[in-house]
Amino acid sequence: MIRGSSSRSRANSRSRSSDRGRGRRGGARTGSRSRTGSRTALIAGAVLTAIPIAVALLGPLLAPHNPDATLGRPLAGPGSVGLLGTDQLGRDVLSRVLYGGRTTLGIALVAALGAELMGVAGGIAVAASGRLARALTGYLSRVLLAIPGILLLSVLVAGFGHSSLVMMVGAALALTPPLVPLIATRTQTLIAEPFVESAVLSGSTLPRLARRELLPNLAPIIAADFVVRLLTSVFLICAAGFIGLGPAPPTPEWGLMIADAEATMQQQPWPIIAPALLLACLAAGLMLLSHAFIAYRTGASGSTASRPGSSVQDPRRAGGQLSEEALEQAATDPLRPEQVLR
Amino acid sequence: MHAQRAVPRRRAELAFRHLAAGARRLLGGVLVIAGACAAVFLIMNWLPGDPARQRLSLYTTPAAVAAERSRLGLDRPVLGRLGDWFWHALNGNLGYSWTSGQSVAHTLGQSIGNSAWLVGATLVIAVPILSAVAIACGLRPGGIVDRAVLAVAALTSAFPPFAIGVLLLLVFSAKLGVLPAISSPDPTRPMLDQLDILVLPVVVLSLTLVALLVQVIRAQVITVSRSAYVEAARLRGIGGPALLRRHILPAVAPVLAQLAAITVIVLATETVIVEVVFAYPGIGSLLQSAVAEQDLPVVQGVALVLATLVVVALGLSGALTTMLTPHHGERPR
Repeated sequence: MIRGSSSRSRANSRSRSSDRGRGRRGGARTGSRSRTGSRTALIAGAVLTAIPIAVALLGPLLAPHNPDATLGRPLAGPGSVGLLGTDQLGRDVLSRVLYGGRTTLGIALVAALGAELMGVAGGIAVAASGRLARALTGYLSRVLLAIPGILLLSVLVAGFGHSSLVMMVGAALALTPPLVPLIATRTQTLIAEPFVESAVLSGSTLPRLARRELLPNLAPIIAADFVVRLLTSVFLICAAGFIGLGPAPPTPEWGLMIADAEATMQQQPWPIIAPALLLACLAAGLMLLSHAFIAYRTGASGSTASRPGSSVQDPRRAGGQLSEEALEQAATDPLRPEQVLR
Repeated sequence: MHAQRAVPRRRAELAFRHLAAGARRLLGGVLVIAGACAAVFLIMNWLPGDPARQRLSLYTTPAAVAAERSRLGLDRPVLGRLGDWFWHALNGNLGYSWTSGQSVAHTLGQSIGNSAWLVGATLVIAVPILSAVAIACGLRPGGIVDRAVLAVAALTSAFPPFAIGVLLLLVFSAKLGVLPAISSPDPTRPMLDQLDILVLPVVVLSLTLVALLVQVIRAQVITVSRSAYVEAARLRGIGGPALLRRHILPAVAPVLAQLAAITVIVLATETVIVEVVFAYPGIGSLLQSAVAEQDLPVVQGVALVLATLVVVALGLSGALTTMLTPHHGERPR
């Protein structure tokens, strides 16, 4: 590693090279080209992500009309009433898109934050606890894994009815299980580090240890993970809204808007196209950001597989498997496949 | 290869170990399915709201609510009802729908049949094609095909699957009019006569797999073909199909086995949503309508099916991975 000898980079290099003997010599090959590539990805990702987030934050201020008010003829084309026309009930499409982002992205953000909190706390707790607790957590996460996210949300809505809170809790629960083993593995590597050991010997309690030693070193992983988790959350919330699990109908929500407009899309496609494009902006932006974060973390750019330097060190391992961690992540998070590359 | 490496160990002992591992896996899987079913049952039934009250109209008498509660069996304690559900489920009876009164097992059977057409067609058509494309990309990383395929993968993963479905409907059904907008099969005719309704749903399901399959298989092929032993084989003059078949593919196979499980899970989740997009009467549409009508026995049945599918897929792929991994467990750690 070229960067300074702060505890963070020390922990990073250790955790990477001790990746069960399959370490990739990424850091030493950081060329100027990959640096620029990662910076471009960061800027492009930030810009793309900013568009839908700005819509969610400022949309209600900019919206020309009340999103629930009937303004004129239903299914009017763009330009006649609002910029994007009216929907099947004669409401302004643009205003509904601008208001809908707050519902969709707001729920998704809270869910992702909740999942991240539970996952990090759970991961640290698992790493610090004994065999029984570990076996129990393993069983629990396998049970949660057997209830796919959309099913969990369906079950919660069938039980508790439609509400934003149910969506937040359900999505957070569905997104947590894959994070726990990830954080637990990293924490175990950290706990073996001399600086953590010395803190333990000097009598640090677990909360203090977590705050002072573990969390600062876990921060880059958490940041990179959160980006992906947010994307998963947004897609899950939208899909749930689409099949009618979200907040009740008059509330503008992107997934629900697309579902409602499906029957009349021949006359008025904009309630479908506008939210879909904003979602795609967000997804592309978040994926670029996550690539940039990973590149920063590993000191290399882009996907590891496409780099010429990432040859396998040990020929006997070549026939082995994909990084177990990556697969576990993918297996436990069926909604977002690109995580497999992490 | 496996047998040769295992020579020092007695065959019977090895067989016993495999059997024991299999039994442990089976028991673990059953426990996970049971846990998932119990969790779903408790979430739906241990709630503050009253399903009987919500199922009746707003203007109803307390007596009517009480009658509805006893009709649905809700006047009994939750844990007792959970035990009953397990006991009946073991005997093949999953209860009766609260709305239609039909047997849940029967309703599920029809929906599973329809969903199996979607998922099966995707597995049979899309997975081999995507795997072949991914291997081709991995053998020539950076080429034109590779770049094009990666671009498509990035594009498909930027849109939520339901949005892809609706946008495809917009183009192929609403604008071009070449494919039907609603994919409801006519139950009186065999599915093979009406394959046109399967086209768009299968395309959407396949597109959800592009990023997953292409990226992972491609990465593994690249890693393996840069490994020292493949280099050694090349230096010995082995090339072309022989190199691919004898040296690269065996090392990619365990990853394919692991991917198979993820693929099945992704398909099971996405088919729920894709069916709603195309109004296709499978397990997803069943789940959607059951949730809308608060038909708890049907939701419980769907949960049992999906949980079993996930657990079986993970278990099978775990066993397959162990079998396909070269001299697994024998190499020094």
